[in-house]
Amino acid sequence: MSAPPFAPDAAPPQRPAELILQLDADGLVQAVECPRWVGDARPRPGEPIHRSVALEAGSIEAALERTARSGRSERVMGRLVGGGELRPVNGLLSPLPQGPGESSREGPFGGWLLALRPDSDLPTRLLAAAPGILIRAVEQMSVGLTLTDSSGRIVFANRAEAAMHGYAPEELIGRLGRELGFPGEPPPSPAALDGTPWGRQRLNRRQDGSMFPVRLVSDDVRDEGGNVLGRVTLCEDVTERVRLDRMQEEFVTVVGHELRTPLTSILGCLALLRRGDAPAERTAEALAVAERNGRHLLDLVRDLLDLERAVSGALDVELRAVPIADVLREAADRAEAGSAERRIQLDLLELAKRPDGRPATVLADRHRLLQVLGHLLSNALKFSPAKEPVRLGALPGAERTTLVVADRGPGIPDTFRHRLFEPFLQADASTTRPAGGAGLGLALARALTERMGGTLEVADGAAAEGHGTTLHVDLPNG
Amino acid sequence: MTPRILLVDDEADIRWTVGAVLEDEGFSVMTAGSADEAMARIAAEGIPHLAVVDIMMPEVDGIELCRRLHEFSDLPIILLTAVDDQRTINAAIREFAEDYVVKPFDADELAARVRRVLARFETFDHATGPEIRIDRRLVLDLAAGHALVDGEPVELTPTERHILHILVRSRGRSISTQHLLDRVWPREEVFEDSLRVHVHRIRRKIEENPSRPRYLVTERGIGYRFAAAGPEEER
Repeated sequence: MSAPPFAPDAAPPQRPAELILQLDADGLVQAVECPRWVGDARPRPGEPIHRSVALEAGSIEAALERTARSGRSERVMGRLVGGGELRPVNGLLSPLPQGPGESSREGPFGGWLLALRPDSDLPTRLLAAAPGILIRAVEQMSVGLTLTDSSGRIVFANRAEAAMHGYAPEELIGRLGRELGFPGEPPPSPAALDGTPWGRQRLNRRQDGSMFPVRLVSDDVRDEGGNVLGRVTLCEDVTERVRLDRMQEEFVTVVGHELRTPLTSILGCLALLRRGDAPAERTAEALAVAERNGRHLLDLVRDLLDLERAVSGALDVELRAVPIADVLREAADRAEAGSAERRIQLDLLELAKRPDGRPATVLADRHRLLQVLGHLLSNALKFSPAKEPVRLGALPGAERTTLVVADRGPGIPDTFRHRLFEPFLQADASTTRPAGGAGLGLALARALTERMGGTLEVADGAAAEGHGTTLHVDLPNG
Repeated sequence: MTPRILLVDDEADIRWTVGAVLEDEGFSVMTAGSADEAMARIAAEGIPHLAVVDIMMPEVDGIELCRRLHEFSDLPIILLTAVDDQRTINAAIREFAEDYVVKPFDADELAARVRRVLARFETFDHATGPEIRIDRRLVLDLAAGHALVDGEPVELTPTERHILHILVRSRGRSISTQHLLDRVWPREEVFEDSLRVHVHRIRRKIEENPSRPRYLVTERGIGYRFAAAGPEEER
């Protein structure tokens, strides 16, 4: 790789460096002067100029001849070739008279002076050539876009590119494109520099030093003659996609665990029973364990399928006016079925306050609403300390009613609150699993509630760790 | 002596089923529903011959439990896993466990694996109560982390307990230096000198005359041996 044209991390100079070439009457380089010029792309004395300078319009030889004939200077734009670089440059080509006092038109011809500077106007010219709508599209698109010159320096960055890296667009200009990458990332493959489009995922670095995953697609920008003007790179922030992939991976891991665990008990019990010599007590216990785990497996499969259908919108709901008091009573009875003590405290006081005396109703699918409340109550009972009651009540409003499930369990740690309704909530370590079962209940309850046009949220202020959990199911009145 | 197995799984039904399968195979089984309970049972009842540990548990997972157990003991561990994740399993096997079984598993397969691992550790007839009475003068409580020397408690570091566990489990047999290094520091490159320092410290704690050790004997060119019976041996 050639040396960068500017010292690393330095702001690009306001007035670009210049390269001044003196050419003899045959177009051979005679002298090279390079004030502040950095980089390997520079012609050597004795070389014909057409070897190192290629113009965008026409050839350098034609320009030499034209200016010699006219005696007038001409602006030139093109690329300086050398040291593995193709640097965009612009400048002035001036024919020189033979000696002082002689007219260039009439006297013998004395060669040319060619002053070149790096062409930092490349993106401006590219954009100027594009219709307005295209410029706006590039500026405003949500995917990051950078244009780099042939030495890899950023000459243009759109808003998305700058924002995702924590910079203002102008702060990116002049930086090396690879500075945005994670240190230690391999540089783009040689193929990338050869003009082959490439796409890959890697970590990029924001201005504050934090890392985030991006997907890059990059390609050369060429003129009509096929000459490389620079490189365009699209950069997409894939943080969310990576998070979803990881969630999916966790989901599969935990579903695997939850399906395999009851199967282990069932198959283990069958193995015990097959031996045939177990005492009656052990046989009875093995049958009970196998049956309990079979039912658990069935519930899990049913919940998984319901969740999938609810999330994909394939779950049918029949919305009717459902009397709230009835449905709360039934939900409490079901949740306590099989348990000797009553732990659910029904609070229907607010419902009795309706002025018209008619039973309060919500618009819901009764079966699905019972399923939602069943999951919330089972969760609340699971996390409440023994003997502590779980409260089930309703707060009717003018248009909507909020059903309330409150427990006095340990509450929800702040770090998990935003993930509470994800299926199979997990702690940080992938091998630490949620306490007490599948972790599907809240995800399914929310999906079902939303399918019925309602919302399921953690009540504000009640979710602090150590103060129990209150969940609100908000539904339209029936 | 019936080999004693510690079974750690947070699912009560798994503990019952796997426990029953292992008991049917003639093992004595103690169970724990969490890592903390497992540590408490070991402290109260001594280090078992083998542990069967579920990887995925709430709060402290099985891999962390293995790490804690191996800080002070050489307890062989078979991991039970419902996580079909080869990376997790490979890492666990490399660092902590002798073997693993993926749930759901065949009862005979589990029993066969337990037997195979136990066979690798050969000697089971050491006492496995919390207190290992070596002779009238010396009693070791490796799970609790101390020795009683002439009735006086002496604290043992986790590494000292780990070394003693390996040697006492195979009392009377020479254990190679390399085996000790591999088992006590499986993840680090530790040299013989370090082991020698730990052995020296153990001797200072338990031997009457550390320069003429009677319990922890050097086997020149091989390694170390915990004496099968001393002059004050009661058994």
